[in-house]
Amino acid sequence: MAEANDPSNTAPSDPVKGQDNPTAKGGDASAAPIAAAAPAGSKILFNNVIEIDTGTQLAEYSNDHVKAYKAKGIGGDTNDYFALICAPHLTPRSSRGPAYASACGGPMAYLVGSGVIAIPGLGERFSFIYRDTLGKRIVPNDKHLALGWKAERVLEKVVAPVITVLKDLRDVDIVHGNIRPSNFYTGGKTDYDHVVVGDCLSVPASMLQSPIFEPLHRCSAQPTGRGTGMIEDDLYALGVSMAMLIRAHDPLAKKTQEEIILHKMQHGTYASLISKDDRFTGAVLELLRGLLIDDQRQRWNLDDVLAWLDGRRLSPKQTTKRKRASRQITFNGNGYFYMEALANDMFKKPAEAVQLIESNELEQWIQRSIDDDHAVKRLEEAVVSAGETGKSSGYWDRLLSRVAIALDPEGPIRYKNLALKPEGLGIALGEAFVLNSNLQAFIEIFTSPLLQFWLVTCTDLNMDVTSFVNRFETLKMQVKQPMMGMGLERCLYFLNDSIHCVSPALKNFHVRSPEDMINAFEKMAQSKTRPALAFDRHMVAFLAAKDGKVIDNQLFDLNSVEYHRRLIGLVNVFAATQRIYSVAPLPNLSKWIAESLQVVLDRYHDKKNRDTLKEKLSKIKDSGDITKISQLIDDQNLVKRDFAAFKLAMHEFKMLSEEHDLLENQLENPSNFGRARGKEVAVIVAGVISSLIIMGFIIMYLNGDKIF
Amino acid sequence: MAKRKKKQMSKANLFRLRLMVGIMFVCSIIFLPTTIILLIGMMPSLAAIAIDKSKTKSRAITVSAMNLAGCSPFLLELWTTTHDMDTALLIAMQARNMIIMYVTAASGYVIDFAVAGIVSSMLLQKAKMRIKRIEEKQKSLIERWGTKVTGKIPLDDYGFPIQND
Repeated sequence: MAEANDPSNTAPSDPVKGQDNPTAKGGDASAAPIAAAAPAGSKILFNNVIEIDTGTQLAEYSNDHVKAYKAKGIGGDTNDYFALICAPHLTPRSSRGPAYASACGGPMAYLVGSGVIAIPGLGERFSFIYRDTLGKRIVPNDKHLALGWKAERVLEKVVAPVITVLKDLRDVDIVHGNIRPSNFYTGGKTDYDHVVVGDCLSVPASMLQSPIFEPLHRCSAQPTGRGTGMIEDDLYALGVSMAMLIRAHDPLAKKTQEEIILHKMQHGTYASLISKDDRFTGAVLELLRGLLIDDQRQRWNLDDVLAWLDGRRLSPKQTTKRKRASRQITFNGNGYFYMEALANDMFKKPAEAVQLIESNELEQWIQRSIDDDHAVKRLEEAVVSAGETGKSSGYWDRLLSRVAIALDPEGPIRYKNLALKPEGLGIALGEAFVLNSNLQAFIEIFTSPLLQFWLVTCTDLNMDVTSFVNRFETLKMQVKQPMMGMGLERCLYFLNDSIHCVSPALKNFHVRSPEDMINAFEKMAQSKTRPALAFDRHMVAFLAAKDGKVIDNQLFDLNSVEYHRRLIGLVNVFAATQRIYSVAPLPNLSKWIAESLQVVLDRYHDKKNRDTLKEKLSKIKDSGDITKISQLIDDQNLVKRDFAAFKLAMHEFKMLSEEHDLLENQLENPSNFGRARGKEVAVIVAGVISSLIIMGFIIMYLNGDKIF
Repeated sequence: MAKRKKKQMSKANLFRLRLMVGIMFVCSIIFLPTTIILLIGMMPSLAAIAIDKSKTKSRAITVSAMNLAGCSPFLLELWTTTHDMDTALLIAMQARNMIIMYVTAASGYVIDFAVAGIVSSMLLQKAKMRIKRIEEKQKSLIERWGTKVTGKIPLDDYGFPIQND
C-alpha cells in the first residue's frame, strides 16, 4: 500500500524496515475533517514496530496543517519518535522520502519511515515518522524576528549546519523548501552548538514559508502555488533567517504580509530586512548580500557559500538593478515605482487597472519613466492577446492576467484570485479539488492561451521551454475533453504525480496507486453504508494517469451512459489491476461485485444463460478472484450467441403469432372451417368409389355375368 | 406488349376450346346412341354443375363421378349389344334404369355432405389444438426471453426495450 520509502538501508539501526503498514489500516473511518488532528486516545501501530499515540500531540513539531504525535518503539526499541500526519489537501512530498532518508545523518530531522496509516475517526492519512531528537524550536515563530545575535554565533550555530543539510540534500536532488528560524531546533540540548533542521516533506515545498522567506519572483505566489523551487531559494531563505537572527530591529514590524511583499518589491530584500539602525560589517555582510540578491541569477549558489565558509572571499558580483521608474504611477491611491509591485496590486481594483491600461497611461509610464522597450512590447502583446477572443465576458480577467505577466514576467501567473508559478500548478490544483474551490479558474487557465503567453513572455533563458510547451499543450487537450479519464481531474494527476486520489468517495482512504485503489474498494465492500459500485471521474483519471495498462482499454465502457457497461469496465479494470499487481484475493470486493452484477446478467436475453451465469457467479464470488468474474461476464462470444438466438426466438414468435391469427380468423366461422378441404376429399372418395364400381361392372361383363 | 401476349394466349385457348367442342360434337353425332344415354342419365350431373357456384366445382365433380358410375352398366350394355338408337332409347326409357342412374348421382351428394362434414370437423379440432400449442409455445418463449420477444415493445440495436426517460 504505502510507497517504498524505505530509509532502513541507510539507517540500519532503525527499527522500521518498510513503510507498508497493514496492521495500522482498516477501520471504517467516518467523514474526515481537512485538518489532520486525530481523535485523542487511540494508539496506532506503524509496521508493527512503532506505536503512534494520537492522544499526545506535540505542538513543537506541529503546524497549522500538519499535526505531530508522540510515537515510541516497541519490542525492545527504546527510541522515541514522532509522527507527522499529513493533511489531505496538501500533497506531501512522499516520493522524496527515500532520497531524504538516504541523506539523513547531518543536522536534520531523522526520517525512519513513511507510509499510510489508518486513524480511527479520521481515515487513512500519509505520515512521516521521525526520530524524536529535534528538541525545541530555537524561536517559537518567525513573526518580526530581530534577535540581535552575534554574527559569529549565527554562522556557527545556524549557517554552517544548514549549509551542511542543503549540501546533503542537493546530493540527492532535494530542495528543502522549509528553511526558516522556526523550523530550526536545538537538538534537545540546552546549550546547543548547532541547530537541527526540521521536516520538509509533510507539506509541499515552500508552502509553510512566510512570503518574507521567499524571493521576489515567488513571494507573491499563493503558498500552494509556489512549486518546489531551487536550492538558491533555500539559500535565500537562509539569508533571510540570518538577517532576522542578527538584526536588532525589524523595519517591517507591524506590516502585514501584503505590505511586506510590496515593500520587498519596491525596496529590495536587503533594504527591507535590514534597517539603518543595524549596521553589519565584515564578512557576514558579504554573505548576507550574496544570499539576499533579488536577481536569482546573481544570487550566491551553494558552492559560493561553501567556498565562503572555507575562508575564500569572493569577488562581489555585479548585480543588475531592477529598473525603477523615474516617476511613480498612481494606482488605488498608492504610488508605484516598480512594474512588479504594480502587477501584484492590479487585481485589487480591476476596473481602475483596466482603465489604466486602456487609457495608455500604463504604456506611457513604462515608456517615459522606466524606458523599458521590452516591457512596452510585452504590454502591447498582452493587450492584443487578451482581445483576441473579443471583449465579452472575462475580458478584464484575461487582460489583467496577461498584463501582470508582461509587467512581472518572472513572477507568478496571476488569474482572478490565483497566483501560481507554473511548477506549482499541480499542488494548487490538488488543494482546490480537495477544498472544492477555484476549479473554474483553473479550467479557464488551462483552456485559454494564458500559459502559452507566459511561456512566450518569460525572460528566464535557463528554463526548459520544451517541457513546458508539451505540458501546456497536454493540459489544454486534457481539460477540453469531457469524458471520464480526461478533464480537469486528469490535469491534476498529470501535473501532480505525488497526490493521492482525491475522489470524494475515497475520502477515508489515501490511494496512491491502482493497487491501493483496489484495496480501498475491498475495505469499502465491508462497510454497511457502501455506495453503489462505480468509478467517478477522479478514480478514472487517477488510474489513467498512474497506469494506462489497467484502464486504457476500458475507457470506452467506463464512459458509457449504460450502467451495465460501466460496471463491466470497472470489473475489467479491477481484474487487470489484480493480475498486473499480483494483488491477493479480495473476497469482499468480489462478493460486492457479484451482488452488483444483476444489471449485467439482465443484459443476456436468454433466461437459461442468465441462470447459468448466476450459478457460476455464486460459485466464484467468494474466491476473491476478480479475473474469473471478469472472464465470466465479459464473454463476447456468449453475448453474440445470445443475441443471435434471441433474434431467432423473435422470428419464431412472429411466425407463431401469424399462424395463431390466421387460425383464429378461420375459426371465427367454424361451420365453414375445413369445408373446402372436406369437399376435395369427397371428390377423391367419390372418384375412387366410382372407379371401383365401373371396374366391377367391366369385370362382370367380361365374365359374362348379368348385372340386372 | 403484355396485353398483346395475353390477347394471343386467349386466342389460342379459344381455338383449342372450339376444336375440342367440334371434335366432341362430331363424336356425339358418330356415337349418337351413347350420347342419348349419357344425356339422359347424366342429367343430375348437369344440374349439379349448373347449381355449384364454387370455383373448384367439387360437389359437381363428386356427383358426376358417382352418376357416371351409375350410367356405366347401361353404357356397357349398349356397347355390347347393338349400338343403335332404338336400344339406347329402350335403355334410357326404362324407369328402373333411370332410378339407378339418378340414385347413384344422389349418392354423390351424400358422399359430398358426409365426407366434407367429417373432414371439416377433424380439421376444426386440429386447428383448436394447434392454437393451444401455439399459445403454450409463445408462453414458454416469453418465459425464456422476456416480453420483448413478442416484438410489441420498441427495442434498441441490442434487442432491449428503449428506455423513455
